[in-house]
Amino acid sequence: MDRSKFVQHFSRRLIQLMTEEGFDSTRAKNGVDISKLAKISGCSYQMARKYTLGEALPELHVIAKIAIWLRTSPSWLLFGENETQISRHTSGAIIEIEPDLLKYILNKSHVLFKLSNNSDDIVNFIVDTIYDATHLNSDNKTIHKIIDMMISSATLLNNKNKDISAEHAS
Amino acid sequence: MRKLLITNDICHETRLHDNILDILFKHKKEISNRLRDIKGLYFIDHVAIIIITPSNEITIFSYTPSVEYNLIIKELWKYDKSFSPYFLKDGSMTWWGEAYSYNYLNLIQFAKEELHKFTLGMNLVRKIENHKLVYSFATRSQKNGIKEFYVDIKDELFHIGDYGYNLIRDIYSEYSDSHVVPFINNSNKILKNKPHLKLIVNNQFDY
Repeated sequence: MDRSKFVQHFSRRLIQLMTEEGFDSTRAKNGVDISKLAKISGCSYQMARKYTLGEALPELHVIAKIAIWLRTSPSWLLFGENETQISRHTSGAIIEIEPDLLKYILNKSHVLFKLSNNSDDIVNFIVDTIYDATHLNSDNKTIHKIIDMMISSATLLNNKNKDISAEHAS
Repeated sequence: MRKLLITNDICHETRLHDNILDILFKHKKEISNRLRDIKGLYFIDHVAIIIITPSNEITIFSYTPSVEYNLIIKELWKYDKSFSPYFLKDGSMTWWGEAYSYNYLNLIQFAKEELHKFTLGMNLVRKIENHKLVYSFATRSQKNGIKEFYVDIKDELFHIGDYGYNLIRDIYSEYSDSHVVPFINNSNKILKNKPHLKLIVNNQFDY
């Protein structure tokens, strides 16, 4: 597929999703709220307009932000499995977990909600931790130790971010 | 983690970083945050960046560390040429299965693919400043033609891998004592031939 068609297909999916999610506008040529898109993307109004007109393609990290905003996967937005069907991408992984292990993880991880206002981020991390914990080929003691390390990593990151914010503030 | 100096016909003289387990799990949140941009693109469900230094020391950064952990703890990694600098050619793209030692194929395939319901895994290799970077991706997609699709977008996958490497580079630098940590430029472009402006001052420009 040549680049221009690729970019046009992207804009079509972008407009479709924005309309579905209620970000339509009677003022814009293509009927969607460009200002909102620009704000989410962190770009100018003109650039956001180009995204919707099929004249420009966002950077990878911007596509990820737009995908989260529109509750879809970056891969569907960028490539599109099916032009008429929006893909709410799921990884296809099913997690089976013993109750005791789940209790251990939830008991250890409840402190993470105090570290951040972004509960989605924490929940995603806990799900990832549950996934890894249930796929480790090891004894319970080692698995618990690894769970502790993973959950500590969130505290570590939070402290690191606080230090960086404090440095910038001073 | 004890040093494993391996001399066999699978992973020649390769060894894991002393702190490999720390690296896999101690930075889980930070690595997940940084690599989350990549997961979901092009049906990618797993991404790992394997760094092999000029002295053949292996460090791994993974979105799903249980994948690599199981290979390490069962010492199956020694029979997976995804960790062999001699098997991995710069600019190459190979499927995971092509790297498994025949005698351990079923075990590695189970630990790496079936356990996680991955339908396909691939390695892309980038050589930079005598380091080898292995961008390891896997998908659970069951779409027809998925293999051909990934071959078609090989260049984009390299760009994604470069982008991911630069995202975790500063974490890697905490563990790299003996080598200068390489940097990859222009890692955030996903398509070629992006239009750009060139400023010409007083009609003077370089040919």
